[in-house]
Amino acid sequence: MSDVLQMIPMDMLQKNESGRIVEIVGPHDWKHRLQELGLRDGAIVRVVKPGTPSIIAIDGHRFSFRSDPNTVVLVELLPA
Amino acid sequence: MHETVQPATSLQSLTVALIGNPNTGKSTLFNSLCGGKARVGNFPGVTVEKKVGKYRFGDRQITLVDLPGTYSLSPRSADEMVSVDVLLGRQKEVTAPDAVVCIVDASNLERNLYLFSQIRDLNLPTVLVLNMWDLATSRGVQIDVEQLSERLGVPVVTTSAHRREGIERVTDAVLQAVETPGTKPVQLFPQAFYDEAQQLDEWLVANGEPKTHLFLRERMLLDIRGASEEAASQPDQTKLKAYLEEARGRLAASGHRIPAIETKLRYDWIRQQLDGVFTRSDTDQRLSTSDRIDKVLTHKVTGMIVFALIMLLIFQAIYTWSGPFMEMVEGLQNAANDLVGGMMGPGTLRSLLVDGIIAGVGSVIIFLPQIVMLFAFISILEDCGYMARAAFLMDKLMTKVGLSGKSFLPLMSSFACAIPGVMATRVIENRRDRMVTMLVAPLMSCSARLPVYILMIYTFIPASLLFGFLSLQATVLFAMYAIGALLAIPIAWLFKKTLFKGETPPFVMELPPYKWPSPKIVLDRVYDRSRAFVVRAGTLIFAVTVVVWALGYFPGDHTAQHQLAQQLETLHASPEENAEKIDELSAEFDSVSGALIRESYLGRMGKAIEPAVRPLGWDWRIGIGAVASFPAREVIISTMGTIFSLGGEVDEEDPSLKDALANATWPDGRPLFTVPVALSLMVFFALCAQCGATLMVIRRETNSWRWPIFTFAYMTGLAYIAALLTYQIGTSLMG
Repeated sequence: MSDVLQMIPMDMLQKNESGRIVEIVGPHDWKHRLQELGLRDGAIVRVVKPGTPSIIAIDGHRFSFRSDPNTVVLVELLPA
Repeated sequence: MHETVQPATSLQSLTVALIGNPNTGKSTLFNSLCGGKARVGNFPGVTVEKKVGKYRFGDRQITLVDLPGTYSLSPRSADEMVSVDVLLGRQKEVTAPDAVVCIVDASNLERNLYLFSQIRDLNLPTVLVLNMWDLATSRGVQIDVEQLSERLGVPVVTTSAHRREGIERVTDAVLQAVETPGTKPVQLFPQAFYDEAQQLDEWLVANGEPKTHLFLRERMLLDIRGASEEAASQPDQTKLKAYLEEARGRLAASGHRIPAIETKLRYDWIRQQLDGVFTRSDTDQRLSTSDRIDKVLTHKVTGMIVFALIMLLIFQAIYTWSGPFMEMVEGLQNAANDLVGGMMGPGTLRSLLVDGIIAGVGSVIIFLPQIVMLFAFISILEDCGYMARAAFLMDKLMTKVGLSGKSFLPLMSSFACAIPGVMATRVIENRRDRMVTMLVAPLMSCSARLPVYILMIYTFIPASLLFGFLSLQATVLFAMYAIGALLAIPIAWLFKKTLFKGETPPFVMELPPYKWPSPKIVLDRVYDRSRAFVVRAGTLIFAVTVVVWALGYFPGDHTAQHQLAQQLETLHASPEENAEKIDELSAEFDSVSGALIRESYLGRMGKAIEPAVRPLGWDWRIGIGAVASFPAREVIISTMGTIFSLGGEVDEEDPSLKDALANATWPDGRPLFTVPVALSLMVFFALCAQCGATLMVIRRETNSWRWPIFTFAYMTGLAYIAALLTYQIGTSLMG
């Protein structure tokens, strides 16, 4: 693995790819909600079903997820 | 209100608050602890359900207060504020809790402890319940419970509530927590934050608000535009908000950005607490049973097919399974009539009892079987986890009209009743979407329309089969349910384009694992909702019925009519010998009754509005029924029951409204109801806003009269036009 972190928006993850949440960029109230739901910095997200909305897995839980156009969840792609 | 809570050592009765994330088995734990004995009500002024249960444990009387499932204690609305108020003892309806039980999903500690860490700030004796322990261990989760308890400084209990495992340990731990003096609370935030909280206290005291709980002040500082900003009663709210804005500015200047600081610090703390005591083998990569089911149920083709089949099954079932139950209720109604008839001769009181109360209330109660069934289906779908998947599937459709999948749940609930539907819009964070959802929710065909549909379909739509297998009656019923939902699409789109312009909102929703629905929970919900229906029938509908009866009975002179009824009853003792005489007198009785109701107050009012309803194919009796049903749609049934019963169109042998309607005629003898008339009446009721309670709930939720009035106006206009088109097109098609 290279030293440079590969940061991509979560929407770009393919099926069954995982990423570690690095940062959520967006309006603070919505960001806060997402964090309370468990999309916290450092959490590992796996895409169960890509699409709009997608199904993601965090800590063994499933969420349906479609982001706001103003909010981006940046993740660091994890090796499979 | 109290800064610290004294350990209650010698209490005989304890109040315990139960709180947790959604989908952690909180209701199951509540039911297991209280043995199902709970009082359910509402907190005043808000739409939050208040659920309180009592049970004995040793020599203690425990009062358990169930708080709504939540991911955090950061109140954004008055509704979310209720939980904070209860926990702080600010809620007058409930005694201040002596302890808090925080229930979490054992396999998802990282997120669930977020709420727990906020609860710790309350500084109340707390117990942590790791529920769904069996599931967690089978998923390879390992937790060192003793070590965790030591680190968190609270008793930790493991339970599998759905198997009733570990339930007693919960109360044991509560007593233990109450009896051991609390440890010093963890100071999660930097000192600068606590200094601000202290300064805020001084500011509040200076502004006439003494003794605010530290927790409340913390929330004031942390929740920008949150409900706690409005929690102080004394100081001017704009002044307080300005002060808080400044305080947050000071914190940001010293490097503590609000609200980002809270989630960061709490999750950091959680990570430290769990380090080394919580491990999870990598089962997350494995396809769980729920994922396998989801492959089919959330698939864009198979998922939609299953969704459509489930909906169709519900409507078929409601229609075909409830027949025998309806006949039972009808039998009871006949028995009640016979009983009254046997006790007294024809007269005003008997007319009130038979024509007014039994015909009116009975004609609504008869639909209880369908309503129970509809509620049962919705509760089962909610409890097994399917509803969240349906929301996922519907998100694609909803985004087309500018809404999100979150709007699906309120709209689906509105098929049972628009009142919980409108309340359920509270899960929608975005105000514009919430408004649009609320305004179209009453278009969904609620259970109060069901009586109208069933009566009309049962009486006027032939019981034939369509394409050889689909019941025509069930298909018409399905069409009535579809019309409101289909019209809601362009209407929501229009509202979103004009009144509530905005971008499509984001959509994040937990998909709980599938599980077998718990019969206890389903039965509880069905019972609560059905009871509400019966209570309405017994109060509101009863009252309207009596008023309608009185308007239809007075001011005519009923002496001749009663004499005729008396004679008829004597003759009925030996019907064979007197057949001719009976026919003659019955005809006279009908014409006298018809004349009486036409001259009554109700008849005069009806005649006045008849020109407006004639284009819909209605006569004055249907018209007055529709007007009188403003408080609640199902009143149309009882009103018609009363009008047609008073008008003598109810057969002595079979007093059901169905036959009365089938026999009803225009003054010239043509049958009143044809298929287009029945359809026009159904379409009108599918779309109209004849429900005082829904309009009141919209008023309460929007805090303005503007929106209920708007809803009533647009829906009534829509209903009138659609009913007009149905009748006119239907009649021209039929020839």
